[in-house]
Amino acid sequence: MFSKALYKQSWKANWIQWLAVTLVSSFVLVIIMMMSGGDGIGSLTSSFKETFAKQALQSQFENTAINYHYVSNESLETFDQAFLDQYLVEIQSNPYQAPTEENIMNAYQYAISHFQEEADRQIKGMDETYTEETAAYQELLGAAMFTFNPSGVMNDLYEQYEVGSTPLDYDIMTIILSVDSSEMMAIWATGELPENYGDVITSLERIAYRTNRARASSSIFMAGNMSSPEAKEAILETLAENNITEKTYDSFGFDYLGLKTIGSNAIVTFQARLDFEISKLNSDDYPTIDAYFAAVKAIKEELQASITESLLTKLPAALSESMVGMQEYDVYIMTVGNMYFKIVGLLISVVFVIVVGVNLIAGQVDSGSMAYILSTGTTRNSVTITQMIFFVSSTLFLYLTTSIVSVVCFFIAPPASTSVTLGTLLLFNLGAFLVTMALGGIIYLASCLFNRSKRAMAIGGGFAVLTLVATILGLFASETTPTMMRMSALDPFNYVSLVSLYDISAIVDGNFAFIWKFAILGIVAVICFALGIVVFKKKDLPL
Amino acid sequence: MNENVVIKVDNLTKDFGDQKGIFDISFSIKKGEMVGFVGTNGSGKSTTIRCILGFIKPNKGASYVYGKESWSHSSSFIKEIGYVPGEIAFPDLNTGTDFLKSQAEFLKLKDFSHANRLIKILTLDPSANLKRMSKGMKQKTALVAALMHDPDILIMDEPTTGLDPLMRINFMDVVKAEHNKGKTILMSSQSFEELENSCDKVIFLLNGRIVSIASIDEIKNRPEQDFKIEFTNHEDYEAFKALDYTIIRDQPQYHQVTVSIIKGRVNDLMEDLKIYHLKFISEVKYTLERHFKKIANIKEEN
Repeated sequence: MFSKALYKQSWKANWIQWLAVTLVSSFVLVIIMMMSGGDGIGSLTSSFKETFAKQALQSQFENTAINYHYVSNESLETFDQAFLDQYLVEIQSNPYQAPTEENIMNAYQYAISHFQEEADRQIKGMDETYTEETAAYQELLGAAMFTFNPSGVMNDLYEQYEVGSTPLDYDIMTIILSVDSSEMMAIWATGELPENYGDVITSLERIAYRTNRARASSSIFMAGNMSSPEAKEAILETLAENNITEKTYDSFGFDYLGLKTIGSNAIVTFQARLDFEISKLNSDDYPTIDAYFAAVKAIKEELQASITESLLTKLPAALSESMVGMQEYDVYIMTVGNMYFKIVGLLISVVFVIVVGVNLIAGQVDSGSMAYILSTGTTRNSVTITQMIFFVSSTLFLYLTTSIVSVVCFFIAPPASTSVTLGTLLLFNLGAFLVTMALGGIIYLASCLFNRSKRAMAIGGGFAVLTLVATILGLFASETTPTMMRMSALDPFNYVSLVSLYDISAIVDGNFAFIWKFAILGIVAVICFALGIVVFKKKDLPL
Repeated sequence: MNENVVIKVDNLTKDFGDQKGIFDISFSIKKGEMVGFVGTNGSGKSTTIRCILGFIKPNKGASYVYGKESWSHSSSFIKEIGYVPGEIAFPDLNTGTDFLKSQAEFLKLKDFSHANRLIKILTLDPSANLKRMSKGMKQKTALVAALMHDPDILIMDEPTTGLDPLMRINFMDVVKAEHNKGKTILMSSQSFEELENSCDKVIFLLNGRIVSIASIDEIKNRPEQDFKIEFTNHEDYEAFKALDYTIIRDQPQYHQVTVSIIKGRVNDLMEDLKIYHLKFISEVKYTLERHFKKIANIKEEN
């Protein structure tokens, strides 16, 4: 069944391809392992960590500003409504008399207490654990009061954060002036409130006024708080656990002005998103205007809930929590496992199996040189089995070489910290060999099936290339990719290709799921080779 | 089955659709016989050869070599066949020597003396690079590869196509020498002349069907002889026509006739012609080409 002469001839015909692919594979492997081993991995990891920390911090700052703004803005709206309500009540109770300063003061006091009630309600609505005694509660209430700035009590703080940033007193004149004398006369005459009562509160100008005020003050409050020496110290302490120095932190640009811009931009983005969601609602779809307002409110609350509870008081804890994932993140697996064995090495050896696999059968039938083999009394089975043995053994020698190279590199440049061991490294090689053989089997089947090498190349090789493309796309959604670079929309690609059966994570974790996946790859290869042998035995050969 | 029959083709049909393929091909080749296939491109010569070698499975009928059915048993007899394919493409090896050595390994051949003798006769330089070989060198290399293990049967698919005339003669001399040694040979060609000069039997294929099988012996040793005669004047021409001769072609505008006479009666003809004024007289050779053209014409008329 085995033809020694054919095996020898196949080596003579393909040794250059084998040597080229083996050299290129080994060369790339050496580069990647040397780069990832020794100190190399340290600098690579820390640059990953720095980017990660910066991203994590920025999102904390952004969410903090959005939280401040949300509480402030909602409370301001309540203030406006309460002020108008009480003001009209005052007018009603003093028929045919001009409103006095006392009337206004009463309304103001009334509204202030509602403002505080609303802030309290919003804060507690964010998290049940935020009770009056907690620092988080104090911080959020502080943010609301900072925005409203009653009687200028926060002026000193504004000036401390940024000279000249103190806003004007909160505007109530617009509300007072909205009730003109004719309307007052109507109220006194009928005892009823005017029809368009409350329009001033929901007018676009008033909404913009409240939002802008809340945005400016929330950004200042966030930036001032976060850039304070105490806050910076707390952040640096957490970063130090991840070997990120103060100098690196300073390079992030999180000073007062930088933070203010970050906060302001985040609020604008959040508001735009909120406006967009609300614009999708159609008031006609709701039976009453109150039902519509309820729906708007529900959207607001839903969107707000999606914002993580980022606050100054929670920052160090939240930061170290998100850095935990980073600490566990193993760059050696990323570079050697995913980058080399799952993509680069596979790509190079797939080039080999495409070229050689097509050459072994279809190429010889296409050119006609198969006639010389068959006319020597070598049976078709003998041809296909011998060529298969050559195909498998040459690929095996290729991976034996990379196995030796990877073991040598592992000892020359041992990685500083990784869960990859010598055993996993050899399993990486075995897995890559099995994937190559499964793809090689498909190419071999195509090679046996078609008399034209072009067609075998297009179909067998095309399939293999498609599989690799899917793997590369899937890698962007893989859990071994850092979260900030992850694109979860590409995740399906991790399940559609044969390469997904090459489970790097399972090998590293010592999860035995990788064994049955390896078995499937082996079975695919065996089935394809067997089918190829049968097909070739039965078909007409144009020789 | 006759013991002397080496190759037997029985009602062989391989339909590729669209009127392409071979249909109901039947013939047999005896031991030591040299048989030629002649026909235009696409007439089915290669397909028949591929069926005999077991590379193609026929739709109907079968071919046998030494009584063994080709498709199912080709590997048991194919070692006895030296095959020169129509399209010469060698495996990915460097030189002709590499290729011949590799073939010897396949054949488990240890003795190179026969191969070396062939190389010498063909004046072949096997150390040349396979990719840079001329068509003629490739054909010669292929012939050496087919003959190096001294097989009993030689099958060649248009081996001389593309060779220059001198090379052709050189090549055919080697083939004829093998034939004289008693080898059974089947070769296809587009040249009638080549086959006429070497084969015992020629099979004429047209559109996948056998039009005729001709024995060269019968053609060469035909009982008749044809002469073309031209007279100087019309009177002599008319007078000769009045004689009792079988006229197979008459061209009055040139005062020309072609007559067919029984071999050995040339003297009688000469005697009769003495009294006429002749412009010329020449024998018209009856060639294979004429033979097949005649048959093809008859078939068309029917």
